[in-house]
Amino acid sequence: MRGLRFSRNLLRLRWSWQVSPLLVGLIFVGVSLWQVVVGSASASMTTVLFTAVGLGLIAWGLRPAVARMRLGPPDMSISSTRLRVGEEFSVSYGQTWKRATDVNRVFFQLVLRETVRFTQGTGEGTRTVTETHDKIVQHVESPGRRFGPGEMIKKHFAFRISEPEMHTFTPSDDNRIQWFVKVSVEMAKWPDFTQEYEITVLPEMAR
Amino acid sequence: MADIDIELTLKGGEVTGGWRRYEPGSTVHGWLRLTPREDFNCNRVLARLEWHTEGRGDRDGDCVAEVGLAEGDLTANSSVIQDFNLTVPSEPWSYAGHYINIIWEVIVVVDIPLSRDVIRKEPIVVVPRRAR
Repeated sequence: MRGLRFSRNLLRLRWSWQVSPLLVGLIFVGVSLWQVVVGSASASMTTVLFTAVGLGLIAWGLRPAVARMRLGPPDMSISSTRLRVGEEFSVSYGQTWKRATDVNRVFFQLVLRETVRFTQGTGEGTRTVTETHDKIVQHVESPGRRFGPGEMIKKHFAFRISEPEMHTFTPSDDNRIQWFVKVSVEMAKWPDFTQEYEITVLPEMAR
Repeated sequence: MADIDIELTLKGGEVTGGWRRYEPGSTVHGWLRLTPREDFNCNRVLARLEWHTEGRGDRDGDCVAEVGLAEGDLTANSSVIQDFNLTVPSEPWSYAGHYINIIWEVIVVVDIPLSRDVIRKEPIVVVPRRAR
């Protein structure tokens, strides 16, 4: 069984809460300023309002990225990313704080995620919807405290693909059953830092 | 639709909680008695092992094994009896989740030209024995 080590290049933006406000904010500001620049509209109250809303959305969208600047890249290693049902595996996690931060709690979860995609409506009103449901199979938590600059959190623990659980199942984008190790750092006054690492559960039982 | 009696009996595996459970990689043994109530010609009679998803997502599914049992003229009130074996693959396992259910079935299909197929389904469960 091979293990895997994760680093900063796996950091990724979450579309719904970070990219969407950023994009909408940029569109708001862009459209407002463009109208002023090309002279099709003067800097009316509506333009100022649109720009202000746009800037607010951009600021909201940037909050998670700014929050991440308080932390160094996570150093996560999982003993094996191809597991059998009933098998135990170990997780090591380390992360350094760049700035002093009050942390409410740090938790790790073994998650079984169902993702479904379906078509809603008929005729021209058809749209494709994707929904997910997370089942928390295991949860490990560290109590919160204040971390100083350069201070490091280190955690080592074990998870188990408990019975009677399901193996990874991904026949199409319409129906997916996947497993993740999820880490979440809840910081006071800042958005959570959350990251997920996918593992594969084979259709085999650990004997 | 053709008037035909289909008697399908499954063997092997083990019966637990009203379901017949098969180990992934094992074999489903089946017994079929086909009794037409009228003379007709059929393209073929098939036994299939299939899985499909049910639930919120659009449907996925696959036929993982198929065996031909009969074809040609079937005579009224004259039974056709056939044994068959279907190999269960290693995955997917049967599953009942929040949005996704994975259902396994043994299906007998009587394919009749220019008429709707006559179908008989028998659900099964495909999961490995849990460690105690």
